[in-house]
Parts: sequence; C-alpha cells; structure tokens
Amino acid sequence: MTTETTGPGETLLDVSGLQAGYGPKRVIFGVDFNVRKGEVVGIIGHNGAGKTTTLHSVFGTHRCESGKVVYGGTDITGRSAKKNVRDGMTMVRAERFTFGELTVKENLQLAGMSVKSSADREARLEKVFELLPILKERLRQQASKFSGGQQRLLSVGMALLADPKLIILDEPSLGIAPGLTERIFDTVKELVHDQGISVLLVEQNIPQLLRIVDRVYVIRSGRVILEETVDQMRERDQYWDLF
Amino acid sequence: MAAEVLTPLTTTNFAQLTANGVVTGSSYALVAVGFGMIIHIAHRFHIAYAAIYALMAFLAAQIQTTYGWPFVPALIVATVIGVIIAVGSERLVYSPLVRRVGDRDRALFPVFVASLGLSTAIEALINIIWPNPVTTTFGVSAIKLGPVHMTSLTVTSVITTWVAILLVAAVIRWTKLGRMIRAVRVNPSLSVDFGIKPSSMYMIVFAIGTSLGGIGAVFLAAQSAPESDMGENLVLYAITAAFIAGAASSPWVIGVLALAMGLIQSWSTFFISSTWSSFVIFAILLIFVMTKAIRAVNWGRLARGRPKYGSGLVKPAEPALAQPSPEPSAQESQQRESGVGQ
Amino acid sequence: MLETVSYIDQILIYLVFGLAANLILGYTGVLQAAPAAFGAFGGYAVVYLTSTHHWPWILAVIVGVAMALVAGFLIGLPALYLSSLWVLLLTLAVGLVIDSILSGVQTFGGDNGLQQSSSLDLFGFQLNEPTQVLPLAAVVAVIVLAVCWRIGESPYGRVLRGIRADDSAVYALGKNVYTYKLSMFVVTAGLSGLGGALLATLTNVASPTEFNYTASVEIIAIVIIGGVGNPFGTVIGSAIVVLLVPFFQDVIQVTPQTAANIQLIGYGLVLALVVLFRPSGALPEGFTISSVRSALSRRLSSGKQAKTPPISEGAAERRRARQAARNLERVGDPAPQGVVLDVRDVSKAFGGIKAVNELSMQLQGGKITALIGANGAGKTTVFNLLTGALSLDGGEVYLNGQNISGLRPDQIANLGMVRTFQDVRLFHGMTVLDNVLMGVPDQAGEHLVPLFVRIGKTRAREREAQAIARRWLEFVGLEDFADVRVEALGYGQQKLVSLARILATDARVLLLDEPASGIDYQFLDEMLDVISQLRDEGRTVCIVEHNLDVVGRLADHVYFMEVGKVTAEGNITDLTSDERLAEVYFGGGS
Repeated sequence: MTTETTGPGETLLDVSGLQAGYGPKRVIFGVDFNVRKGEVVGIIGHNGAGKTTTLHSVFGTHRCESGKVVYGGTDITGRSAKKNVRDGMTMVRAERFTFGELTVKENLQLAGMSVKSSADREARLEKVFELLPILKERLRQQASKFSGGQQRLLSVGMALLADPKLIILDEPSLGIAPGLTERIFDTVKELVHDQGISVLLVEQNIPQLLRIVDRVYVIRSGRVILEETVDQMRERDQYWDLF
Repeated sequence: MAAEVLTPLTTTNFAQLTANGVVTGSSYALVAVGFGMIIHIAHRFHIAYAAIYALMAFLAAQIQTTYGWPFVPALIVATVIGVIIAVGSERLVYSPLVRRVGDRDRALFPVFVASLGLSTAIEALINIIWPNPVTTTFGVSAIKLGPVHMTSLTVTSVITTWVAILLVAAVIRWTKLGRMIRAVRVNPSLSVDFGIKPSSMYMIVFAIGTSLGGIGAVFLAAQSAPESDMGENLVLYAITAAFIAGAASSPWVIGVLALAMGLIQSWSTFFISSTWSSFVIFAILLIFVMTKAIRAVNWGRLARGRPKYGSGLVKPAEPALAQPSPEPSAQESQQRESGVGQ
Repeated sequence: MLETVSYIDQILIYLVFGLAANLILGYTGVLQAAPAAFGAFGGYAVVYLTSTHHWPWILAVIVGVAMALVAGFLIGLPALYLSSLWVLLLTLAVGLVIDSILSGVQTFGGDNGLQQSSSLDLFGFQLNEPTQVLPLAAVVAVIVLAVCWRIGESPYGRVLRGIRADDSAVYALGKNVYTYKLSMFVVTAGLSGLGGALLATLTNVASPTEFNYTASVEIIAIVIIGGVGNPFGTVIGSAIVVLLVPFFQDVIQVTPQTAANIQLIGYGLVLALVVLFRPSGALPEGFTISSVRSALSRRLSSGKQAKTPPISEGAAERRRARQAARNLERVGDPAPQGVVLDVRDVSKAFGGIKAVNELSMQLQGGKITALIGANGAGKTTVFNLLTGALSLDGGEVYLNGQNISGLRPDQIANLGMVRTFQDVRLFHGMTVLDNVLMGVPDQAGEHLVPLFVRIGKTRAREREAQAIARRWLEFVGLEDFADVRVEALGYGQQKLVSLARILATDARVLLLDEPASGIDYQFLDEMLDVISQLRDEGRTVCIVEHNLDVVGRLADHVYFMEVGKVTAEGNITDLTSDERLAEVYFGGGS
C-alpha cells in the first residue's frame, strides 16, 4: 500500500508491516495503513479480523511483534501508552471503557490528567460539556449507573479531555441505540472540523461510518485486503464480499 | 491445667472489656486495612505482611532501647525499613511472578507460596537476630474514664489508629492519587489508556498498607515485648475482615469490621475461656466461607444427578452496559490477557 | 545413631504428607492451604485412643484415617464449588479452626498436646523408639509413593492435570471434574491422617504444633521444592526440608535453636526462589528415568522434534494420500437422516438482558450448519447453552430425540455432542497425544477402582485409547507431533489438536466455535478441508464463524442471528442477497 501524497494534510500516523498476536496465536499479519492530519480513517472487517488488535498495537497497549509505527514523524513502535497519551493520542475502547465504580466527575478528572495547565483543562472540560451536556448534569453519578449509550458518550468525552491530536475509536456504536451513534459521530465530525483532529475508527455500522470517514481500509483475517476512498465505498451496492 | 475462670458479667466489667476490645480491635483494624488494600487493589496474597509487621515492631523497640530514640522517630525509621522490604517483595518477587504466569488469577497460588516462603524466612531471621525479648521502657500514665482503666499509651494508639485509617480512606476517596488507585482496581487496562501505570500504583498500595501496619506494630511493641509470630493471627483476622467486607469497600468499612471482631473477641470472655479468643474469629471466617460454598452447591444436581436447569459453569458476562454483547468476543478476552503487566 | 534414624523417620513421614498434598495441589491444582490439618485426626486418634482407652494401635489409626476421610468429604463437598481463591480461604480457615480447637479443648491437652502414655505395638512389633518405627514408616511411605505414582502417571493423573490446566474444557470432553476434585480432596485428607498417625507414633505426642499453619507451610514447601506433580520430586523435597536442621546443627555446628531457625530461613528462601525461578521444582512433572532416556535419544537422533516446522503446502496432499491409503478403514456410522439436534425456544438472560431470546434451530444429520450474525448477537452463548456450560432460563434441547436440557456438560458430551472453544483451551503442559487422549471415552484408567483392581484391563484399554488418539492425530495430520508439548505448536496446529481432541470423543455432533479465526490464510484451506471431511465421515457439524467466506465454503445451511433470535435461514447466497439482513449486519442508515 503506497502513501498517496495528495490529501488534506501531511501524514500523522504511518503503520507498516505490523504483526501482533497472543502467545502462539498471530492475529495480524503485516498490516499497512496511514492517517493524515485532519483525516478520519475507517477500518472495517469481520469480527476477529484483527481490527482491535491493530488499534492496541498502535496505541501501545499491545505488543507489536514486528513492523513499524511512525507518529508525527517519530518512530513510536513499542512505546508505552503513557508516552503516547502525553503526545496527544487517545483511545476509546470497544468494551469496559469507563471506570464503573467511579463517578462521572472522577472519570473525567482521570482522563484530563495528561493536560498540565489547569486553565487549559477547565477550558477543555467546558468544551466537552458543551458537546455532551448530559455529563455536566450527572457529574456526581456513578458511571456504572449510566446506560450503555451514556457510558459511551462519557468515554468519548474522556478521550476529548486529553487534548488529542489522534483519537482512536473502537466500535463506538457497539451496544448503543442508533440515535446515540449519530450523536457520537456528529460530535467526532465537529471536532475534526473545528480542531483538525485526526481519527482512526473501527466500526461495524457501515452507513454511519461512511458519513464521517475520508478513507476506509478493509481487513480480513489479519491482512489489509482493500483501501478505498469514501466515494468508492459509497458506490458499492453491497458489502458482503468484504467480510 | 488450671481451670479457667470466666469474667463475671457486670456493668463495670462490660465497660472495661469493651474498652479492651476497642484497643485490640483498633490494632486489628490497622492490619486489616493495610493487608486488605494489598489483597483487594494489588491482588497479592501477601501473607508475608505478618513477618514484616513483626520486624517493624522489633526494629522500633531496638532503636528505642539501644539508641534511646524517642517513639516517633523510631516508628518512622522502622516503618520505612518495613516499606522498603514490602515494596521490594512486590517489585522483585510478586510482580515478576504474575508477569511470568501471565494471568493475575492463575498467579494467586504462586504468589501466596512465595509470600509464605518470605514470611517463614523473615520470622526465623527475627528469632536469630533477637533471641531474647526486647522491651521498651515507655513512660505510661494510667487514665481512668469512669469505671474503665486505660493507659495514656493505649488511648494514644487508638486515636492514632483511627486518624490514620480515616486519613487513608480520605486519600483514597478524594485525592488524585486515590482516584488513580481506584481506577487501577476497577479497570487496570483502561487506566493504562490514561497514562496510569498499574505497577506503580501497586507499589504505592504496598507502601501505604505496610505503613499502617507499622503504626500498629510499633504501638504494640511499646505495650509488651514483640514476638516474631505476633503478626500471624492479626493477618488471619485481617483476611477475615477484608473478605467479609468485600473488594469494593472503603478502608474504613474494613477497619470497622476488624474493630467489631476485637469487641466480639473481648466480650466472648464472658462466656468462654480466653484460650478460645482466636477460635471465635476463625470460626467467623469458616462460617462465612462455608456459607458461600454451601450456597454455591447445586443441591438439586447432587441429589438427583439431573436438576431442572444447567450448571452455571460459565460465569455470565457482567451486565456492565445497557445492551452489552453478552457474548465475550475474541477481543475482549484478549484484552483481559493483555491487561496485566503492561 | 538414634538421631539419624529419627531424621529418616521424619523424612518418610513428611513424604507421606507431601505425597498426599501433591495429589491435590500438584496434580489437580486445587489450592488446599492446610494439608497438615487433616493429619491431626490421625495423630490425636492414635495418642488419645491408645493412651486413654488402650485401643490397639492399628485400630486407632484406622479410626483416625476414617475421621480424616469423613472430614475431607464434608469440607470438600461444598468447597469444591468455589473458585480457587475461596478454596484457599476455606481450607486456611479449616486449618485454623482445627488448630484452635486442639489448643482450646482440655481433653486434647491444650497447647502442650497429648502425651503418649502407653506402649504401642503392631502385631507384636514395638513402636516406641524411632528405630522401631522405621520399618513401618518405610513400608507405609513406599506404599503411598506407589499409590500416588499409580494415580499420577495413569489416565487418571492425566485427567487431573487436565483439570489443573482448564477444568471447563475437561467438563466439555465428558468428564465430571467435580467428582475428580472431590475424590482427590478426600484421598489427600485420608493420607494426611495416616501421616499424622505416624508422626504422633514417632514423637509420642499429638500437639497442635505438629498440625498447625506452620506445619502446613512446611508441607507446601516440600511439594513445591520437590516438584509439582512429580511424586519422586516430593521425596527430594521432604529430604531437603527435614535435613536442613541436622545439616546446620551437626555440619555447621550451631545450637539446635539456631539450626531450627536457619532451617526455616533456608526453606523459606528456597521456596520463594523456586516459585520465582524454577516453578517446576527439583524434579519437573513427567521427569522420570524413562522420560530422560527417551528425551536423550530424541536429541541424539535429530533435532526435528525440538522445532515445530509449520505445516507446509504439501501437508494437505500427504494427508489425503494417507487417507486414501487407509481407504476408509474406519467407516463411521452412516450419517443419520433428519434432525439430530432440535433446539426449541431456548432463552438466556444476563442481569435482565436477553442474550438469547426464544431461539429455535435444527441441525440436520451429516450436514454442516453455520450460525452467523453481527458481533454480540449471542452465538457463543447459544453454544454454551447447548452444551450445558450455561443453564437455560427456558426452552428445551433435544439430541437424537432425547431431552438434554439441564444436563451437565459432561453428560451432554457423553450423549454425543461436544464443542470446541473460540480460544482453543488445550491443556498446557501436556503433550499433543495426552491432549487428544483426554477426549477418548470409557477409559478404565480414569477411575480409581479399576486403576488399582483391574490393572490388566486398564493397561489394555490405555493401549486402545492411544491407538484411537493417534488415529485422530493422523486424521488432522499431526501424528509427527504426538510427543510435543502443545504450547510449542503454532495456533493453527493447536486448533487442529483441539479438533482431534473432540473427534476422539466419538461424539456425532460437533459444535465448532470460530474454527477459522486466528489462522493464517495458508493454513485455512487445511482447516476447511478437515472440517468438510467430518461431514463426509457422517458427523453433524455446527459452526459459529464470522468470516463469511469460510461460511460460504463450508456450510450447507445457515442460520442468521440477531439480538438473541434466529431471524433468517437458508444458504449463504440467499442470506447475503437479503437487503434487510445487510442492514442488520452492517448497520442502519442515517
């Protein structure tokens, strides 16, 4: 897969030949893709294809066996998540994405820890409240008392607080009502537009995904089998053969 | 053996035994909170807590008698040494073990056994270093509260205990550090995403937990000559309190339970000989776990071999979300694996 | 040299304790934290009954062991339903309660214990001096060693090791894990009682210190230091732990008091170091003279076993050629016609959320059926319900016309329906052959009575079982890897082993959970090939699979699941041309 030089901006994340697995089980076998500044890139594929493992290998919460991850011009292969967070990467997990026993406020406080200045943190918090007012109304509530969709919103809010340059979103629509999925995707879209954030998105809901992405990679059984622009994807009449 | 005389049940005796119960219960509470934090947050069955506890008591007593240091500096030095040993065992023994086994739950027994080994070695080492009792000459004044006799030392120890426990509870509840600790307990892999290192939090938990023990140990050493196995029963009582309270409970809940155990023990001498005082607590633990076990038994299946409905072998997925995927996906189980030791 | 004899006695007696503890801790992996406590029944029975009631020694021992067995049964019965942490806590509490009862009851002499006041004899042989106890201790230790070795190195021991590695996988292969655990818990208690009786006979006293928490730690140390799951290792462990005292006392010349403490430091540190750096102990599991010899000869002949070459493209052809050569020597039962598995309106809720909601489906005999659906549709839950791993909230499941709802997984497996797991769940630490042997049903050696009573039958059946297992390994093309430990294999090969394992059960209905996931695509054809051969064999197969390409190549019939229900069925082309299903699978539009 070669990097096209035309696009909205320079390359922010460049992944090549990434391999990872669990013990003897190899899950991804040399995945290549890239994300440019201000771009939303989607990854789709069947369940177990290696999408989540790919995201975790990039973010530093899973060990890469080989390959290279370049972020903002520096090689970050195998770097800890802690450093990546400090460099403006955030991740929203597909499952167990909030601290259930802690309150909404505490969840947000934990998420904002990487932002050093308190004024900056306050400003970002205001911005998050503006986007997701429900969080402000229910600050003292335990996160586990939220519905799945509300917890999802909270997790997105937490990701935004950390002052991200790149948000990695793993299946934001999983287990939530369609209306909320739209809300989340609108929020993401707004952020990309306003702040030039890049987004790497894994999503099963293809119509929703196509609303916000610029490019899509298709992964099957641990390999990238296709890269298409959003327009090319839209022209397809069905997606079964991608899974 | 001389026949045991039970304490007659009078108001005066009741008040005195209640006061005694509060004093012993407070010393249980420190250990219960300290040990409980380590087992519930760091998930280490750190049975060597008992030996380190005794070591801190001996160190403080020795420092006071040999160098004539006052109580507080002796306490601090002894506790710092205890903390170094405890954090060292986490760093050099438990944490590498868990990493090698790869799964926190499967590592439970190896950690327990390694800790037993450390415990045995440290206690024997104490016996070699201090073959004779180490007593401190501590200026104690008697205090009389109504019908109750106490000493200035025990009153101070009770007050210090609860100040320390409430302080720790407050730190866990309200500070940034406490939030980070709770985050790691609730969801260690997610905490990594926000730049928290679970391994560092575990070491902090070991340090706080050991310090609490240090306070208790040094106060005990001031009241009577320490013994190398003085921590053993305390840790076993702590296990009782910590598990009855449950993993999600605040430190002060565990502390109050341990206090209650001290009171029950003290009051029990109205009815049974004091040689049974530890039996009382162990029986509570046994009954508690046995009840849990008996409730887990599928009696229908045992009796008929063919009950109406299944076995419950697979634990149902926790309903964390409103509409979750009850199907544990491949990714989820993978994340669970990769959550430890990163 | 009275002292020397006394130490040998101690080694032999602690060996009995250690061997007993190794059965439950080492082989079965049940965290019994108070192995010494059950010795108290034997120890106190001997001293109390002979001194106070002047019973004959042997009778007192029998009573003591019987009490230990009963206590073990009563405690194990509920305890083994708990998870390992709670078993640890429970046994710890049992040990502490026994200890504090012994110290508290006046009849038992309190902290000082009971002194032996009468002379002991067994059939006229005096048992009052260490030299007199020695032959007895030696005979008992050798017998217990033989028994433990027999249990450990037999098909029974294989099941125990399987339980230690993954108990739900053992259930799924048709073996009742609970019975095995309980049997071992009781046997351990009884043997510990015997050890306690011998200990009290040797020391002429039954005291709490012989059976308390510290004594349990010593026994755990013997097992761990010697080697988990190796009875001969326990001999070494016992010798090391006991001899540390005389070593420091007589060789280094320190006072007895210091020597006792140095012994504690010694084995305490060794224990921690062994757990940390050599978890297999002095003699690792399976380390016997014959295993060393075969390992050596293997290493000398070539290095081919050490490495596991990936299965190359030629493997499939080779396997097919072999199969043609065998020319269907094993003709499976003809495929049953019609519905083999009938699932009627099954439901399961987790905390109010209906994961499976009145789902119905049928498996046709000799066909491959696939269950597909978006992530979270409840497919794996269906497998868990069908095999009894989860209990049904409602509905019924009929296998060959028999209602199997509510049966245990092992019962369902024995009725002819088995499953594989998404995450494979092989028994780690065991060879490929042993893994497949775990699937072979009706093994005489997997039950305690025939294991000791019908030795000839056990051996013959084990040979048959080995032949069956090797045949299935050959079927999946892994016969060259029979003696390799499973964790050395690649993931695809591990999946094939798990397939061979369920094929060995001879069940006619196979539920395969994501057979193709995590497999390198070069290996995928091999896997699909094997699965379609199962159909040719007349087996009924149901797969859960996300890779629709795989489903299209394998399945005769496909069920489409959404939110806990089957909402469509047909062949894959029918389903993928349905617009509504596409919307369900890929998400609704905006």
